Amino acid sequence: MTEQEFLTKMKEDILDTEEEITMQTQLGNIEEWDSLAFVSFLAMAKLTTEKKIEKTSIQSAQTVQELYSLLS
Amino acid sequence: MNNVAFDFTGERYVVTGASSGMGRQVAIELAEAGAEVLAIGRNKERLADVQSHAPKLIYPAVCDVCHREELENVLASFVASHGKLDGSVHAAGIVEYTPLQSYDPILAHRIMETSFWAGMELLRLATKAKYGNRESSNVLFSSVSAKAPVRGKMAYVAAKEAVNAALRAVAKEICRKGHRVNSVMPGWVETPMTDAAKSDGTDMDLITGRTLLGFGKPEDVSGIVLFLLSSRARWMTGACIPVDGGYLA
Repeated sequence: MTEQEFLTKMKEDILDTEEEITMQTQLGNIEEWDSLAFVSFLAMAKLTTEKKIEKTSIQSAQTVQELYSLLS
Repeated sequence: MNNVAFDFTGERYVVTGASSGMGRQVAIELAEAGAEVLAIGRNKERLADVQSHAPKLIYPAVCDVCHREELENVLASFVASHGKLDGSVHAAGIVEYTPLQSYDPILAHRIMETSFWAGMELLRLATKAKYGNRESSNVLFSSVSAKAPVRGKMAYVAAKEAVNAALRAVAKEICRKGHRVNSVMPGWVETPMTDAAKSDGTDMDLITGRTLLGFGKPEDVSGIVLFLLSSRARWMTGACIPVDGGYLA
């Protein structure tokens, strides 16, 4: 998944927001980054990568870029 | 003469199964109450008839609701030209016999796809930020059959109970933006679906005996749907409401 595809997925599906999202956006500044977005991200990750992603890795991510890095 | 009037002026709704039966009635009454309605169905001629009741407010679209991409395209196009949705009604459904020992698996899956999965997809789209306004109201058609199963119709019964189960989970997801979702469980209503049941071996004497107030008409159900869509129901979500003439009493 390219960065642009990931940003679209984050904006339209995971966060479902109309706010602008960039790779540098701080997750703590996104109103929609909550427990539901967390499980939505996990579900999306299972579909897109065979890599096992630990919940703690998601919890420690600070930016959108760090979430993207977990998939590669 | 009705003693309740709704005003949906300036609001927009999508209704599936709008070419006949209860979906048709809901689409017409929403438009009569001032809403712009995207009326989705499979039959072009019947949709044109629905549109004739309010040509400036009802926008017909021929679409197979089981086709996810087609459904999203129709909805996106409506939103682009009219504005975001304030809610949705999923009335599309199929009822056929699927007896355990001789059911047609393709038909059984089609029943589940139409009544349940298409309803979930519609709900997903209607509550998405790019297609729906916040605090939308959404109604799914379940059935009394979910609570009082009909012998030989396992797929239909399962699909209708799946609607009730899933909406309670979904209500907990979509509430963060004020969206609501409820279902109605109609009893036996005079629709083409009921006409078909009269000649397919369904025990109509049993059904007639259980329906305390007699068979209903589409407008006996549409009023509850409009109520659930309206602001008077703003504190209701995750509920499954029987509208059945006493069938489940």
